[in-house]
Amino acid sequence: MSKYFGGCDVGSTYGKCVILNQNGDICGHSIVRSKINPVETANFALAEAMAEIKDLKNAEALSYLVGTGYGRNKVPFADENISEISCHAMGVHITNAEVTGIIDVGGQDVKGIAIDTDGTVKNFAMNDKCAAGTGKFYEAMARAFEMTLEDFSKLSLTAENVIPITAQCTVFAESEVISLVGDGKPRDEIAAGLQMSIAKRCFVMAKKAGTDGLITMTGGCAKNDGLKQAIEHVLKLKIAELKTDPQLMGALGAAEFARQKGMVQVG
Amino acid sequence: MTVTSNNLKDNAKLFGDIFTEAIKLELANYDHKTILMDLKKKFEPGKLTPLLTGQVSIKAAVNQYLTGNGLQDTIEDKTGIYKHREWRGPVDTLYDYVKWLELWGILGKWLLKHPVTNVSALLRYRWMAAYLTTPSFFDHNVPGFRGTMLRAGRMNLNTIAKLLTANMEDIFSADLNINPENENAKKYICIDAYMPKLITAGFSEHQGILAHLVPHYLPSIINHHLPEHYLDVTESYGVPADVCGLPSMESGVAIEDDFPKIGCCYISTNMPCDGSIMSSSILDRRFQLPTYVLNTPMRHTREDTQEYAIEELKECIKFMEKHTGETYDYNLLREACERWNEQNALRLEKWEMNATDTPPHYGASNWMYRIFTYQDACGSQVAIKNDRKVNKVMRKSLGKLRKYPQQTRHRAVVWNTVANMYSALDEWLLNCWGIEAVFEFIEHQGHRPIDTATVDSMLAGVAKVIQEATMRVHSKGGYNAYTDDLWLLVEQYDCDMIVMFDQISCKGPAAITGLLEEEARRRGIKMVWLKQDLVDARTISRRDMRDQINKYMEAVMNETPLDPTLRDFDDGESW
Repeated sequence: MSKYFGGCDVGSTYGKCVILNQNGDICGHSIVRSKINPVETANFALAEAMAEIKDLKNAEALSYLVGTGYGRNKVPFADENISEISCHAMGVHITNAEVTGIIDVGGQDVKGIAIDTDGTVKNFAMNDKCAAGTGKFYEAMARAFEMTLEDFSKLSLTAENVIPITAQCTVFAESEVISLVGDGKPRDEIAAGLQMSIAKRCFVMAKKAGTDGLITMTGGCAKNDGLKQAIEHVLKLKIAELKTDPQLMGALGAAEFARQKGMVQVG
Repeated sequence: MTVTSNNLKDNAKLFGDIFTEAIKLELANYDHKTILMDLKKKFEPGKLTPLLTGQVSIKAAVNQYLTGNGLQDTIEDKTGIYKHREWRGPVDTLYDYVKWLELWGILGKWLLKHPVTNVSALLRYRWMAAYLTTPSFFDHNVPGFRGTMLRAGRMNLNTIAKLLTANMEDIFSADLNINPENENAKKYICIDAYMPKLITAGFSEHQGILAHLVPHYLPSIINHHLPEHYLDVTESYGVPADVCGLPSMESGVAIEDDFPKIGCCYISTNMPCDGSIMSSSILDRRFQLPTYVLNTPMRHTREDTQEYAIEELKECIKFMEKHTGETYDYNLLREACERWNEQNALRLEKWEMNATDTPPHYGASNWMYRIFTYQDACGSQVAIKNDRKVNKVMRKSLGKLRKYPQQTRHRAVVWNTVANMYSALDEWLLNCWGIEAVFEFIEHQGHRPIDTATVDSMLAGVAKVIQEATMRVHSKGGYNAYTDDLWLLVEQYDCDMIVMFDQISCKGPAAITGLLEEEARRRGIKMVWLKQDLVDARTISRRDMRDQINKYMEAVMNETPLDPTLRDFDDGESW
């Protein structure tokens, strides 16, 4: 009978789950919008991922389950919880072992993580006290542009110029953007200015953490093409692509930890 | 006897009864000796037992010791109230208990000496309520302590209590807010937050009072929720919310007229940061006292600025002479400087001892004492007597096996402005993760001896003491005044870790973050950044602060807590 190992990343805006088999292959995964109650988010994410595996009936049947993310203490049936920093590092490491630095832009925080050669964390820096440069910031800006998040993330790609945004704070940036839109400035150039300001913030985190070498992006905002382009511009290097969805890296790392620990336990 | 937090209520009621009776007696014009005698008659010793035993439940304490539970198990969740006193073994438990009683003695003596004045102060000033929690606050600053750490810690804390109650007695006896007909008010010279009161030692009839210390600095350390009210007051007044919390709170105290109304004049300084410039303008308008701004050189490390510093000091002395009507006596200053030198020598010896393989005493009971004695009790005989005792105890322990801490993993310098709202952070670092915070940023004020040979050499020394006062010594003098001392201490104390406070409302140090990171990496020193907001627990709570350390210790250091009960707990409703 197959054995399964789970990682559940309860983030502030999305809940993610990855289930691995003994060989470390991804057998099931899910990304669900976070609910107000982290327990519900975890249950929902677990159920969605398990639905992809026929011989896995419930979370209790997992050989080992690791919870991570801000709601990691609330993951039902978790054998252990591990910080999302370690999990992101491990997730990226098993996806691409050559990567040594991560810029993780989540729903409500930004992190720079330096990874060691074995996937452990060398150092990290994070900003979780301000919404600037996070997914929440993008939601606010997309709202100001009256666009969907997906459309907004691509808007800056067509810009020929960059209009600098001076305000770092989400609230002030939003009012600055509204003024610029009101002045009739090209929207793609305003968006490019926003992406650049966030990219600079990410750069500071990466530098503070001491990342060097090959760098990748994780978290939901890693799918933001405009941000990726801006970070590449600021860092003056190419962001390493991951073969697995970058939003799943935390859950994947947690599942890998679960697999390693579970295999030892199972023997 | 039943355990414990319930006893707090009983004790509070009994204490209230005694206090009410004392007030009645004082109102009847009794002196304090007569009051005490009458109280002894009225309250039989048997009735005082709960008050004396306090939260002690030997059964619960021994059970905790035998079952090997962690330190957090002795404390109620959320409120931080001790369920029972901590069992530290027979000798140390007894020592701790005796010192706890001694503290109650100090506080009781003070309260009962002038009950009417003290109750008036309690009713007049919001911040006074914070001082009611002093015994428990002190308990929180020696958790798990044994042997030398316990003795040095308790001695320092009780000395602070002695000095502080004397300080309060002076303040309230002169306070026009409490007694508008007060003749004592003019006997005091108010001094701002960034200047030791050594400067006023040349007067025999007048005394320096640190205006900020009792009304807001100490209360912000004792009760981490107290600043919230004053911060809101300042913001309602129109000051932006992102100004540093400490001057913001100070301004709130001034705006609410919660500063005692005393003094014949006020000595201010050119401030070490933008926030304090804002607060000094508000204070100046509220105090309405003749004010002298003592401009100290910004480049205090340069010798060519010292002539100017001495001239400024002389002008300041002339100003004080004018407003006190008293001639400054340099012989008195010399005596004070000589006492200051002795105190300083004892401090340097402490630093030397803490740089050994087995540092005997550090943490909140060390740095709080240091800042208190440097600023307020500089040259105080009471403080020197305590220093001698503490150093003796520390000396004895050198080279011997330590009773506490038994297990440690790292030696750290804690750098940048200390978080007032979490004074016992060092104790948590030690008990939870085995990190010995052997040196604190706030300890590192000026420590040069003063040459008392001539008036000029003495003034040069005093000017230097002022230039190297709290905050100023590292925030002025160029960026290397902030960075170089850190690396020097890391070497001297053989540290493998730096806990770097990232005070989010202080923008200045942000500029040199990169320099520090790079140098730490080059030296192979682990540097953990700890975000905090100085006095505002609403922005970053104590629990958030612990979480940042937990993340670092687990993710980067791959370590597990020494005491798992301390890893994560809720103390949001505690003082």
